[in-house]
Amino acid sequence: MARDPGSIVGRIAGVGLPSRLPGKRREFSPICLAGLGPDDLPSSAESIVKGTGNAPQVLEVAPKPPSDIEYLQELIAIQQNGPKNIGFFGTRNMGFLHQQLIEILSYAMVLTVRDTGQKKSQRK
Amino acid sequence: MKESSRRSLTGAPSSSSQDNHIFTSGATGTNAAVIRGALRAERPDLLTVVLPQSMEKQPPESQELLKQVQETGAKMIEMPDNDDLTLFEASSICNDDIISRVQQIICFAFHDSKLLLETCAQAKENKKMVTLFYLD
Repeated sequence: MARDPGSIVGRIAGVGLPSRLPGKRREFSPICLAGLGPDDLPSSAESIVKGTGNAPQVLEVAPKPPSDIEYLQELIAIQQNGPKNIGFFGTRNMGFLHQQLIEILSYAMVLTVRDTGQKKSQRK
Repeated sequence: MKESSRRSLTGAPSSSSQDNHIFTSGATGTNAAVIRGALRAERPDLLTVVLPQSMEKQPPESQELLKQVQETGAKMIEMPDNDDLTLFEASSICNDDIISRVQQIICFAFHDSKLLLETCAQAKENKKMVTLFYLD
């Protein structure tokens, strides 16, 4: 059954998207909810000639990129690779399978012996 | 704050500086699963349970597991001073205490788990590494 992808996307995203750009066909991918691909965006030439007024709008806000400090912290944490004190928090309301997963994670975290530089040198 | 710890009855090797140490609270759900995992690994010396209030204030379903924690020799920290507070307030204090003791946080929450999300935000502010799993 042929359906207009534009209208499906419009309903999903809750906005009225402009109709498909003329002369372009788009395959609707059910995986991509926004349904917007490179074909939906005007080319550089089209932007200059027609303007960007007809360009589709995407409601999703891009996630905030991690700050430099966060990158550095993660790098330091990777380099240290030593034993850690790990705090577990979580909801009381969860299914049995979720609890099993958490139990295995905790079990593994306890049994994981961190490979420190000292141990490496002992092995040599 | 009352700290209790007994020698391991399982004969597990003593905690060395090369092992991860797990901190959690004493509620049902996530906390109970974490405790069961650590006990299953037979390393109670690597588990510390921080309770928001005294042991007697814990729900009956948690008390059984917590008694097991004590019997195995894992460290349990009670906060009887917070018995007069609401569970929300006491839990908030308890979570702060856990954050101050750890370098990394792993949290399992729903998008509307107010206290848990606040705790994670606070941990991030304190420059802790936070891994947050959403169950919804």
